[in-house]
Amino acid sequence: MEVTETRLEGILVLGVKGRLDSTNSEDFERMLLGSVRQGENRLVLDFGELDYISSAGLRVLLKAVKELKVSDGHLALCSVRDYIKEIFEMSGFVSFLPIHSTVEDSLRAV
Amino acid sequence: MNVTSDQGEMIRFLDEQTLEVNLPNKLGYERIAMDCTASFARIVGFVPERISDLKTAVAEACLNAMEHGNRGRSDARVIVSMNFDGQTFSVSVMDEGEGIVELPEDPDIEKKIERLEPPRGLGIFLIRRLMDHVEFNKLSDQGNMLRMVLKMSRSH
Repeated sequence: MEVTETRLEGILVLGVKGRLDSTNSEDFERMLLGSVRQGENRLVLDFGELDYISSAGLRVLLKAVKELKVSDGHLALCSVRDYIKEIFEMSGFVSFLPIHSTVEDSLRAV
Repeated sequence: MNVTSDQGEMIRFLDEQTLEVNLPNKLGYERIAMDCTASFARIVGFVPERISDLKTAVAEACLNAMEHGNRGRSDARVIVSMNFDGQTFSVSVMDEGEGIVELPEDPDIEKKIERLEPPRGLGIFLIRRLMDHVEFNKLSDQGNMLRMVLKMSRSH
């Protein structure tokens, strides 16, 4: 997994490439929750190059949403591949984690 | 052809319709089971969407066996047995542990967000959503077996 950090319109955008599973979810958790705890409360995750997400990855997103809820923050996903989008739909995550087609749409939403 | 490792045969055909993968109890090795399952399912004619469902379910079942069944024991093994009977594809994932009493109920995602439930149980939840049938059995000697069945086309 590779994560790239970009700041667009003042909002932190994390681009995730590769696989997000049990072998690297702790690293991703440190990165994502670390940003939230440092005060980032508007974040976008660009999953355009994410190949796979396991329940360990979903768990990290759940924790991030919980923490952001406390600070009235927002997290959005963009460019999610069809199969991964299906996982979010099946698991019910779309009810609290909006998915947009483009980074621009997510930036407007958070 | 069988593939061997220090621990013996890691991948072997039990018969023409049944393939067994013997994994060390190590995170990351579930990918071997995922890839074997995907290859087998592709050969017998499953469509890519169903193969994706299968890969995710197999990975989650292996991780569950490693983390909760075998409780991370480095000397334990996880056995993944897969079979295609011409209609359905079944996968059994067996561990050596006593860590699981029964499958957890499906989590309430809204409650998880409201902090009323810990962020656990997502793996089994995904398996249930992706597979056509899931059952959990205690093995007679020691260990647990999670059996999943996938049909050629989605029934839900």
